[in-house]
Order: sequence, then C-alpha cells, then structure tokens
Amino acid sequence: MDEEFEVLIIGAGPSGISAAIALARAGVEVVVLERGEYPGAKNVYGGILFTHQLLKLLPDAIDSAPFERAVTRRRFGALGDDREVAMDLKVGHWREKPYNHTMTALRGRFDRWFAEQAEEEGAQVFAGFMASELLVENGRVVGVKVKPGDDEMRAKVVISGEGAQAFLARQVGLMPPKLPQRHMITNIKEVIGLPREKLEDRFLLEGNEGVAMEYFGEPVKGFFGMGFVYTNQESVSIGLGLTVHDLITSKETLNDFLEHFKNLPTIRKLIEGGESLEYAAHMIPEYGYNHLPKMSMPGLLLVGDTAGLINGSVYHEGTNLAMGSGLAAAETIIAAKEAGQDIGSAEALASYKEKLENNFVLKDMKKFRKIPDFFNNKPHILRDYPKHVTQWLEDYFTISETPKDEIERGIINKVKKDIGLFSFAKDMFGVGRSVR
Amino acid sequence: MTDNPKTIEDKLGLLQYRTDEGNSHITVDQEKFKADPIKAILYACPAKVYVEDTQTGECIVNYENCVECGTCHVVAPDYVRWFYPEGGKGVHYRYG
Repeated sequence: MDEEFEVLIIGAGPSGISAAIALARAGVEVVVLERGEYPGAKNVYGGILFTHQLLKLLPDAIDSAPFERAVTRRRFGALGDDREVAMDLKVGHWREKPYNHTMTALRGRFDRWFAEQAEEEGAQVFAGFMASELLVENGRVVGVKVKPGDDEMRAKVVISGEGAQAFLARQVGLMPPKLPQRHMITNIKEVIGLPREKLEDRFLLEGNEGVAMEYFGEPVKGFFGMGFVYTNQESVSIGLGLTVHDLITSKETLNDFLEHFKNLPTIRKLIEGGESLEYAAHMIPEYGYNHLPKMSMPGLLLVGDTAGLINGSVYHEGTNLAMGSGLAAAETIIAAKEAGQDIGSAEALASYKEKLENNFVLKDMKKFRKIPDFFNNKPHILRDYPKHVTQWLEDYFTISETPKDEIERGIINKVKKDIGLFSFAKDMFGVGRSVR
Repeated sequence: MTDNPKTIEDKLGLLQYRTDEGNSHITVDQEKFKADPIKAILYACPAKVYVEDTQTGECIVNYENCVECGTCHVVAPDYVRWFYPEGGKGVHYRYG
C-alpha cells in the first residue's frame, strides 16, 4: 500500500474513537485499526463511563448511547475481617440528565456503538487488523505494519490508543522498555447476571438508577488496590485489582482474591443466585503524573491508557481522560491543518501536551501526583487501617455494661498499640498532603 | 441453574475465543524459567496459561487460554515474550 492517509489511529477504544470522530467531522481523513473482531471485543474496564467529554462530542449520546445505568449512589467501604465501614453518598437529582456524567456501561456494546458514530462521521474503521510495529524514517513515525498480512499503512500522523500495553510507544522509546511492576495494576472481573427486579430490590434502585461500590482493605487483603461492585441493567460487574508487584508478593491468584471478596458477608448476598456471564482481565497503567511517558514525537501522539492517563485517587477515572486526550489530539491536528502546517511535524504536535496540561486531564493527574508513590512507600496504610479502624468502631459501638469511659480509654490504648499516636497523626498528615 | 464457576479453569469456560491454531503469541525462555526461584507467572496469570511440567521442569504455555491482559510479561519481562495474537484472533469479549 503506497497510499498515505492523513491520520491513522491505533485502537478503537474511547481515546482513539473520540479522536476519530472529531477529526472526521473536521474533514480530516481518518483510518482506525482495531485488532478485535469488532470494536470492543478486546476492551475491558471496571464498568463506569464518565461522560462529560462524550457529551461534548456527541450531545445526543445521553439518550442514544447503550448505557446500562446512571450512577446515583457511590459507596466507599473499608472492610476488615467481618466488619465494614462505609461512606455512602446518594444524590437524588443525579437521576436527572446528565446523570452526574457517571454511567455504567458494558464495553462490548458501548465501544461498538461508539465506533459506529465515527464511521457515520466519515472515519474508516478496520476491525480485525493489528498494528504490529511502527514504521520510523529519519526520526519520524510514518506508519505501521499491519497483521494479518504484510501490509504497511502510511500516514502523516499516527495516534496510538493501543491501550495499557503500549508496545508501540515502547518501541520508539517514548517510555522505558519494561512496564513498571509497582504501577501496572492487573484487574479481573466477573459479570454476573441477575434479574432486573431482584437487582433493583437488592441495591435499592429505581428506574435507571445504578450504584458504584468500592472497597478497600479485606477484598485485596490489605494490598494497594480495591474491590468494586457496579450495577448494570441486568447484571453486576464485580472485580478487583492489584499491582503486579503486590500480586507477585501475594503468591495467590487474583481469582482466589475475587472468590474471597465474593464470599465476604457484605458482598455475598448482593450476588447470590446470579449467573456468571463472563470473566475478564485487564491492566491499568497507574503511573501517576510524575511518571508519565513522553506524549509525542514527530508523526506520533499517545492517547488514553497508552499515555498513562488515569486518575487513580478516589475517583478511578479513565474513560473521560481517554476521551479528553483523544479530543486534544484531534484539536492539535485540526489546528495544524488549518494553519497549513505539516500535521505530523514536531512543531505541529508540540501543543498537544500543553492542551492536556491546561484541561482536566493533566490538571487532575497533577493534583493527585503523589498518590501512587505515597501508597507504594507506605504499604501499611492500606494494609492496617481498614482492619484497625473498623475494629475501633466496633469497640465504640459494642453494647455492654462496660462503662463508655472505659471503652473509650480501651480504644485509645488500641490506637497506641496498633499504630502509635504519633504515627497515626503522621499518617493522616501524609494522606492529606498526598492529595494537595 | 447449574453451579457458578469458581475456579479459573471453569471461568475460562464462559469465554469465547478465536484461537489461532498452531500459532502461539507467547514464547517462554525455558532455561530462564527453570532458573527463576519464584516463577510468579504460574499464579500471576489470571488465565492459568503457564503450567510447570513436573517431569521436565519446563513451562507449558496454554496460549489458547490467554485473556490478553499482559500481566505475564510485566511479571517476567526477562523470559516471557508476550504480544497480541494476530488481528481478529484470541479472546473475544462480549461484555467487557
């Protein structure tokens, strides 16, 4: 193939398809390569799609996209042994559009629909074709090798939305050759089918309301990670993740962790009687702002997971950062084209990183930049606190003839013994500092 | 209703694959595998792709079970070479 396209996008996920829609709409010639048999066939996430960028791109998506439920309730729990302490936030008007931009969705359905929108705008999406290697000439990416077959496809700019493995980005040295064990998180999940009525009764949901529940502590046996339960229309997505470093240390399989999580008293009843529909595994590149790859080189931009665009913190956002980066990549290229520049040149692509720095994508990541390293350096916080805090609260609320004064003194003694008052203060200060 | 799967082997039974027969997308350097005292890929792979042959000590690679998360080559970058299966092949998620 000698033809040269204007833009070649690798991967029909949220980042690549967002870029494809924006570019095609602006009259830029776009081709998307997707290695799955259809867009979505390889794509896995926890289950929450944050929609503010999607609605910027496709305002009608609020009614037409194949969402599962609108998240009106978020619950953050710490589990220790058989105890649970939770923050449970429910907001009534989140059941109204735009639903706090927080929807559950299944990627097999959503990504396929999203790619169809790109095709309607004029992008060409080729599913079943993998970009196996970048073609580099004189320091500039000029295309990719395609498999199956031995074809080459050439383009003025390649946008890699290849995903967490980032083979192409590593090939050209935008990031180190080995992925970091302390920052790559392997997640597994199961989708468990439940009849709609039963699900809505169990989770106290009306209509299209949904809930996102996240759990620290016991589900991941005190490692840095969390378990989650998200409600779909007629199923729940349940799963958890650990860093590769912790997974190696644990000597257990993630499936052992998941079965343990599913059988905890607080979780068991939620999924009882459900039918397992699918098992899946995927990685999340939680490098954090301080360890991001280089975002571009002549002829190449990185978007989404490929670029490590994940807001870990308490938000667990990814899809919106992916879409935001796809839009920023498109804007960069469109502006260069309008200015009559060579759209793949270093000058043309230089403003991409600036665009990310100036919007929520990197502003939010920068705000939480200390988190990945903080918890990696202080593993005791997630290991010990859920267990201890739930124990202190259990003691506080245990009813007996022991005078309350004595109970309080007992708890303070436990804090001293379990953590130490000074260490407790220092940890709390550290947690506070890590988000500032 | 039948019992829900609990083991990895049973859960893999829920999945659809487009297996690239005879064309593995994974290779393992057997000597380095044998020399690794931890062999974490045996339990870190969520699809149990890697099994130690008790006779030879070699690593059997059941590539057709791979769910394409990529954990293995992050665990053992020095001796697992993992790449995506060819376009259109491999695991085929319906829910994701």
